Amino acid sequence: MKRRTQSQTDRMMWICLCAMLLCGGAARASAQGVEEITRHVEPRMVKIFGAGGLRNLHHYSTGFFVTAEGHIATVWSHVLDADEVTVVLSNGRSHTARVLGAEPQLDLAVLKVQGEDLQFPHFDLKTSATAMPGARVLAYSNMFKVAAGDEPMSILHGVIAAKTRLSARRGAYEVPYNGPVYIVDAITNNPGSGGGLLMTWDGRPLAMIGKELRNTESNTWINYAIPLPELSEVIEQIVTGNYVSKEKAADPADLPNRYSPLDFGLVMVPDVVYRTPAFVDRVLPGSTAEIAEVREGDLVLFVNDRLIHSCKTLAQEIGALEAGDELTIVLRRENQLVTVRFDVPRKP
Amino acid sequence: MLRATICFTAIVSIALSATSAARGDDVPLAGREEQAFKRAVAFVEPALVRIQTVGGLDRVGQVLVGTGPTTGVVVSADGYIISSAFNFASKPASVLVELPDGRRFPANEIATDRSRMLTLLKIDANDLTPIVPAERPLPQVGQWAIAVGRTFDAQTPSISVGIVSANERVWGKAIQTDAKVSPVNYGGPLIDIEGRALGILVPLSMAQNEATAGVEWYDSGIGFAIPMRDVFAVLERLKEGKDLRPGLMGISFKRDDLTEGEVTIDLVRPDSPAYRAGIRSGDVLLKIGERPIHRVGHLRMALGTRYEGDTVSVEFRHGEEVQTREIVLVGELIPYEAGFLGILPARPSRNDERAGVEVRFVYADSPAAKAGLEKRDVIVSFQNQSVSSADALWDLISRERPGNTVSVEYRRGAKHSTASLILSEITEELPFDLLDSFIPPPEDKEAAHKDLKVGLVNVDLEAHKHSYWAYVPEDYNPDHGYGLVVWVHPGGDTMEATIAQDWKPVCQERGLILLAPKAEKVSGWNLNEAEFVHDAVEDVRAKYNIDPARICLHSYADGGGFAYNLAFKYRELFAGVAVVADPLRQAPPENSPEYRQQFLLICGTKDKSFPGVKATHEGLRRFKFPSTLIEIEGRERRYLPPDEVRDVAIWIDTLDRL
Amino acid sequence: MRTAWFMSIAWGVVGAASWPATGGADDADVLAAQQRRVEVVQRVSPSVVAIFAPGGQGGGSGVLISPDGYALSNFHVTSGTGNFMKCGLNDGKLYDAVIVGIDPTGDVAVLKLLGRDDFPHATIGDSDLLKAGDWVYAMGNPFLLAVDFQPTVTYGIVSGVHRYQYPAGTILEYTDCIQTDSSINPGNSGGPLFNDAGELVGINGRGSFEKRGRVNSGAGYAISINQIMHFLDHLKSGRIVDHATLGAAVTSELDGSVTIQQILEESEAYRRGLRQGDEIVSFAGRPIGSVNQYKNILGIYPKGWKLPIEYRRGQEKATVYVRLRGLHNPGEIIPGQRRDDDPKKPDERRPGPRRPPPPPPPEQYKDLFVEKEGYANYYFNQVEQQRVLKGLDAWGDYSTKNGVWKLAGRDQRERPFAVTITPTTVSLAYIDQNYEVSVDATDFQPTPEGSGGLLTALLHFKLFLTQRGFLFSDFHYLGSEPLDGRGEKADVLLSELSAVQSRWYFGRTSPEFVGFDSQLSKDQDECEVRFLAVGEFDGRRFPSRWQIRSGNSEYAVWTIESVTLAEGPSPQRKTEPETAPVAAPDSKSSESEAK
Repeated sequence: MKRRTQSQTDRMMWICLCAMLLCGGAARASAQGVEEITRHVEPRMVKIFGAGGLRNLHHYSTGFFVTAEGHIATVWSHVLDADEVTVVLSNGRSHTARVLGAEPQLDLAVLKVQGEDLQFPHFDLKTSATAMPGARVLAYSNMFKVAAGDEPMSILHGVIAAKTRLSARRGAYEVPYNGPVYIVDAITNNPGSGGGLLMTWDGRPLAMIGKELRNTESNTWINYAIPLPELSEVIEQIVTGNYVSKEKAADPADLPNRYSPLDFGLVMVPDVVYRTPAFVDRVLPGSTAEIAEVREGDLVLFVNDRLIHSCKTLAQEIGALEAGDELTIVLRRENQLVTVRFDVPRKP
Repeated sequence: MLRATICFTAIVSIALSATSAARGDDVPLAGREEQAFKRAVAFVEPALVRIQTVGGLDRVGQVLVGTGPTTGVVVSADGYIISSAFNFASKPASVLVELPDGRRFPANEIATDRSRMLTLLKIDANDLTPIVPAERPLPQVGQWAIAVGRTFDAQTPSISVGIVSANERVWGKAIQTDAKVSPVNYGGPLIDIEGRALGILVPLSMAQNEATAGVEWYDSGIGFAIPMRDVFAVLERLKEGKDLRPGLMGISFKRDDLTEGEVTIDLVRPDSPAYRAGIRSGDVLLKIGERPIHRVGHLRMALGTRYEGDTVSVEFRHGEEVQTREIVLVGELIPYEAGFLGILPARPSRNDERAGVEVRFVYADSPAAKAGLEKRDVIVSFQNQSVSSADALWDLISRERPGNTVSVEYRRGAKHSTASLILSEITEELPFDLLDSFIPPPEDKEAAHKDLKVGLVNVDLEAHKHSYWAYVPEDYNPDHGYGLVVWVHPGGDTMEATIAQDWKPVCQERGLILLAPKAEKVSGWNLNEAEFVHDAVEDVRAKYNIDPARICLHSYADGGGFAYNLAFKYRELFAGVAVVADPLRQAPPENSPEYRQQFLLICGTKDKSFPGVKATHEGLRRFKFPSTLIEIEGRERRYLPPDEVRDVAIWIDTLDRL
Repeated sequence: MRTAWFMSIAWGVVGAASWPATGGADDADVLAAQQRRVEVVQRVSPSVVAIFAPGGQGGGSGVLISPDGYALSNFHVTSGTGNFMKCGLNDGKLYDAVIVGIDPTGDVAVLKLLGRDDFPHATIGDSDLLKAGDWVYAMGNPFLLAVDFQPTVTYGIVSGVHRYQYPAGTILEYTDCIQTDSSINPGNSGGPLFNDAGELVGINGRGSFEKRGRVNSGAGYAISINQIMHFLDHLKSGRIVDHATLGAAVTSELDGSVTIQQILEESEAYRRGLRQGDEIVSFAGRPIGSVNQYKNILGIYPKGWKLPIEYRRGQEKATVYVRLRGLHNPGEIIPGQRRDDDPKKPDERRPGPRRPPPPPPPEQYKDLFVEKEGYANYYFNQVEQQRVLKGLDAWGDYSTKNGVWKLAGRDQRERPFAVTITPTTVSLAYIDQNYEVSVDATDFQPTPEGSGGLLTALLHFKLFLTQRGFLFSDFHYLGSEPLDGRGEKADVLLSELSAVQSRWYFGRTSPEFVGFDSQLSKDQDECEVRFLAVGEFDGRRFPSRWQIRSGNSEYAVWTIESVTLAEGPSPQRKTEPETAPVAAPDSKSSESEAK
């Protein structure tokens, strides 16, 4: 038998350590897993009571401690439109808190409990997890204000349905944030659950439950949560006081309009209804389009791999082109897909 | 050395657990189930395609349909893909299929199953991976059921995990699951824990057959999937390119009572398959095929799975004798149309008990007029069956069609006479010579209005975040039935002032109560608010004496869409629909004797929606709905002038015409 | 362990992509767990009831709890169905059912399915063992989808326990309820919530629906089965049951403790010594940490039960047993038409014509419903009265012993006593004193002092033993309660005559007469008599050792040495409407009571 050298042993040791480290201080999912996780989560969460209370505006939401000094992360919402809000801890004690900072782009706000040398159990955002579709999750929040005083949060079970960008989801949303989100297959986003937590079934914080958003096109509600890694940096900045708000993202209203289909010799059918399919009405003789053998009656399906729902989206895509870009158009001709390419000319 | 061995074992254990994964007993069940979910989805993934649509309507009925991608499932290697009809409700100009490997194909809509709400697509490919169905035809209730879609991104499917909640739902057509089913995964598969397909996810409704029906239950924990067995069963028929429609017999029942002991037929549609098979009103159904029929529910389940063209053997009791007939079901029935006498019945007040139906008004050159009936005559029998009330008379007339010859016995003073007359179609004309139907004020207002509000009232409905306002004539008399005008305001403007002002006097003249629900967002109505309007009406009915025959929706501009939707959702509630300047954007349900609905369309000839409104009128007539069109010459897009409001009131006053 | 967990996830993901052979669950345990669930569903489904209003227009759900057909549902379901309803089971058959008892405050109804004595039924579980995170099954008939009566099964976790949901509508209140994320939709109302083992732990009745119209939004609420079991005997006796109050309002202090803010001086709690400012430490054995928890306790026990309250005043801690007062006046809980103004309540209406008037009850069952004010169905109270009174038969026939009674014996300190009960008076010679009370002028001062009114109690004891219910202005079966708040559950018969209310206690294991309380007037301490032993006196069984108590203290323990019971004509019954709110039963029912 070959005798192992000290270095080998050390390397093994090191591997073991890595292996152990990999899965952080997670509670274990098992029969009594939820109970265990809840014991860990409850003291770290707060019920928030603030502005609102009118018919359609609830005056309550949820949050969680991110520092021992009493910094609370939550969703930026009308509930915080008050000089001071009340936060109720899991032991029933209530404190007042002030908004320390907010990042509307992230729909994030950080509160600070008023009062000196208080100590709070809190989440270490460095241990937050990431998850794949199908991963089981538990959602903790005070939705519908079911819990009062020292009563524990409501818990929902579910799986991660998808990880996506809000803006990439079918339809449009009434929300500034368009970064990555987890979509959950439980009805997590309810009145008051904003600022709640998504936990993995092995007990690691995963994401912050967002607002109640309605898909304005299909009229369906969506249940999403913002991954903690997306938030932790800004939370850190706000807590440490060196945070500067980002400038607003470009307003879709003032999209560039440098080119039009005509610049390529494409005369589209008149844009009459809400979603006029982008059919080519005529191709100007001698134009780039004619040279590329685009034909009358072709239907434009993709421009540089963006789906063209209608003449409107075509105008947007073409408008955003820059001189020197290569333009790839996928056309439907009868039952064939035809791809044509040409360079975007410098405008005369 | 010792140190070394410890680490070594440690490593081994890691290695083991890594490879043995799920089998490792040290992994908690929750985690291993999670792996099973993921692998089940990975298994079905190659048969899952993403569907893009181009062009098409932005809304179907009141349902706004998204532009986003939807899901389909490969059912054969040579390019056939099944999906939910919901995904094509917008009638897109072009459909595009994106395979898991990124290849894109233009797709053709081959045919749609209008009973199970499936659409078959074909792309020009022959190397596809078809879906693997589960072995057992129906799953076990309680087993895992995973709903899978491909809408969020092309690479990873979206997942919702639930269990099988029930089988043979929605008249025997669907598996029910509590996994979250929505536009996110309509058209995708419902799979078991082994990744095998249980069914195809679709929205379904017990009551309606539109492609969008049932979508209001999305994500409610009540979702439906068409069992794969049935999907494959219809595949060949769909490949022929002809849409499949639910099979109809042409019979209806008094009440759709699931608990009814014996299934007695109330009405048989003339010229329907049932009629031709000799089934008549009053017959009792005993069997469909081999299935015994004890309740209407049984019948609906027996027929729910059948298509147009299917042959069913029907056993029924006619009088004493039991007969069996083979019946070929049809996809469409000749529209029902009620006959018309041409009279308005008097409206007896609560406390007068008169036999027969007094004639309040006779339409000029109507069958009744031709037969010599006059105002104040009392109709005592129809087709030799004595009639006690207007409802009873309507029930008899509703069984006769225009052109039928009927006998009417009536009393004038003491003298009894019998007239034989030929029923006509319900007239489109308004009887402008119809006098006000003024209701006398109550003798004792104090008592009559005790804990009742009159005049302008505002009400918050507890059950909803909504409120409504209403106008009740100051002289409201609880002994008399009032008509109810339900004002459905257009988006962006409740028009409260105008409506209140224009309608007050009319309400006095014609014995009407005005009810005006407010949308949660003034900007416009959304579908979920239908129930609120329904409850608002019921709330008013609970408080005031409302004549069910004269509950009428009234709308202007884009309020119309919602008004139509309400009318067709609560057909038994709304007897009339008076729409100003808005066309109907969905196919109306078929006219049926169970529900009596009449339409009044008004539009200025210079209004941009005029052609649409005109078409709506013709369409409704084609469906044999009583419909009247008032064209206001040269008028732009505006609400009604006061005198037109009066015409609407006259029309409402005739909703109980016979 | 952690390592394995972490790695295995990674593996699961990677492995998935390259896993063509089978779909995945080659994991025997995963499949076994699934199979267990399927079996649970198959086992419990037969007990789930689909309830339909006459005409099939609307309805809800329920669950069978006994082979003879008793089933639980929501009051807000049965209030829409009339006294007779149709119930579908998953055998595809439709059964007639009759309303039995209702709890309008707790939103519970008991009905009885008819036509079988071998109905499949659920096993009752212990809802206090439920924890947030436990898996549960909700079953029922949401949106009346179950045309074939196969219940809808949804599976989720307990989102919270001991939830308090504020009164919605008029008096409907969900206390100590179970919150779950298994989908509860309109139509689920009245249906069962089963734990992972398939035991019945709750009745689903509410959801937070405000967000999406009437569609599940992740929060459903179930009435705990433990609450219902407290009320079950009351409900099975055809009554409209009331909930309880202590007569004291509490408030929570900043430090989280709960103290008495106000207390009614006529309440028993006050007589037992509770005062404003006292801290309530525990109630019915549960620590009280919030006002909701206090309300939760009050919500789960019937009016009239005795419960232990532990309170702290300064450093002093004490525990007393207090009989709970009624929450409502009888009038308040007699249901009017159903409330549709309840935002949280699932609504079983389907769009449809207004309900037709209920059809006449099925001929063969019409006798199973007896209308009487204050009762959901008086028929079942008669049944319970007769069941319990059988316990007296063992004592022999007293019906002719209406003459003079003489009882004599010694107390625990060998002091003699002698009692004489004539038809008109009761007299007692005891500790060199003579006491007398006349029948017609019932005194309001307890005689002898400290006994809580022993003489009147004796008088009523005689009336009860000889004529059972017949001579009282009101007499009915009340339900069951733990004797003195700590003992075994006992059946309770309640009698009223003039202002005097008596509770007659019968053991449940063997139906024997174990004692009684007589209360001279409301808000006075009763005279409590417990039979420590029963002996044999001229051919009849008769209690031979009596413990006599009132308030906190024992008055005496009597040992009876001689009993003489003279014959006499049976007295005439006189009804006293003014003292009997729910009295004056029609002769038919009173005969059946007195038989």
